[in-house]
Amino acid sequence: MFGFKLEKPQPESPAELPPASQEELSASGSQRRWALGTAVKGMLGATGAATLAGACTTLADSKSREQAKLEWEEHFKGNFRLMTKKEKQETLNRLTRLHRIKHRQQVRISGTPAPPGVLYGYAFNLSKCRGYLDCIKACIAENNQDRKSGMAYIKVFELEKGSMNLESGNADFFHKVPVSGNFYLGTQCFQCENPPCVKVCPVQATWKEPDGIVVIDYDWCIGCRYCAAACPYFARRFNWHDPEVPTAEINPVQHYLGNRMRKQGVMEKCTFCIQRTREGRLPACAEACPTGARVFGNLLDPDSEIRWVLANKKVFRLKEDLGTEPKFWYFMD
Amino acid sequence: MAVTPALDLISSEARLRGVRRVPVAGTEKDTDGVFFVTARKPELWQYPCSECHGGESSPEGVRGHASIRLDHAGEQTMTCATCHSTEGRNSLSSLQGHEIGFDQSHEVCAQCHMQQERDWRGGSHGKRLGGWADPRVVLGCPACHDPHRPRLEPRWPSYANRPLPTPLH
Repeated sequence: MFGFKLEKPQPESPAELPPASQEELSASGSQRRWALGTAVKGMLGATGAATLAGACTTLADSKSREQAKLEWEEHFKGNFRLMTKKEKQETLNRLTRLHRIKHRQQVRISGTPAPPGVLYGYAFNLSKCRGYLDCIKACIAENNQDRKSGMAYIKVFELEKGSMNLESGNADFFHKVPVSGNFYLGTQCFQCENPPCVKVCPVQATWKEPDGIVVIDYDWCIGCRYCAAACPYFARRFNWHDPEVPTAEINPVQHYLGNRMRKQGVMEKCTFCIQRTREGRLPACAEACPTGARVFGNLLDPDSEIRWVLANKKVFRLKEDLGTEPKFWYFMD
Repeated sequence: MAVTPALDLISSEARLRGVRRVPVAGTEKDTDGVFFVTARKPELWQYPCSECHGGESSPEGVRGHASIRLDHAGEQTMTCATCHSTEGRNSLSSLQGHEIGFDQSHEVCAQCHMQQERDWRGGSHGKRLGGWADPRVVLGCPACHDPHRPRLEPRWPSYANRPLPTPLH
């Protein structure tokens, strides 16, 4: 399993478990993890104590022992959607503590659920965007994206006026903007109502929340990248190596399904800044945009700005014919 | 569809502490919602204008405002007095000479830029503060557009999308 870094002592393989546990293991799949976890915890507590004591001479101090214990427990937790309230709190506590040990930084990882009566929607004003890219800068800082690979959820394409072919667009521009005769089109995860990425996930590590945000359980993702292949908008990003973010730059306000630190071998993407929007704030990109090109709000509130845009502007979405129903509209003044 | 009561728990009020704002009078048929515009007067370091402009000074006199260069729609169209009241110096003026407060400056702009004002009222133009949740507080026109020189100059992007280094082997 990715991110599992218990070096010593080596965990016993299932084959070495006591007979009773072996029987439990052959039970239904949903109980398998639970049984494995319980059995191994039991061993650690009783028979494993002597083994541990012998092997622990290499564990330098109590902190690394605590880290090993927490990582061990993290390994046996369930899918976030299936966790009870108590289990969710426990894993949040463990992750907060683990972050503290690894980075010497106190973070607040929340598991705030979707607020009732909210469906998030986004609109992008093509007449207003001037290609400043303040959105990308804010997004990277907010979402603790890997600095080493230069990962960015948002792409802003520079296109010639009159053209609408993103393949001829330039997303790597770096010159004074805006250039006369060009327009700028930003893309990110569109939080589809009918998300193909969710359909193809073989382990249900990604799903659509009741408020419409498509999220990923980074600890359940197996890194197969089917979702990246299925997404018609190239919105998903893969961690080919452990993400690197200088501790001083880590945003401590985090969400379990949002900007908490990822690890090697898992998928990530834009979540409309779930850690912000569920508190009533704007996504970092919308807040950073100095032109007001980014409109964000509640689609279920008839008085919201996003509803006004949908009612009063000619809007379109990308690849509408695919039936993915993105909740991200483009419009012009 | 009505907004559920639970949604009232989410509010932008806490993040708007210290932001001085005034309600915008709803005149458009298609916007019923009350919303606020950030107050302009606290931003004007020379306000109130009557501190200096007590008597008969000319509206075209620019010695006290040497930093201001008027470049808005051309000299033929606009002078200082197009927007500034020559009577009550503490306020702006409509084209017909009615006084409009500095906090309601969008009403001055809307005389020509009516489409922009409609979009601003609706929500597709301008910057919103605090968050997506109510109350809705937006920046006024002069917070982004210098009314004396509204043209926005090109600038460098704040982020460079560097292509990944290509491995040599």
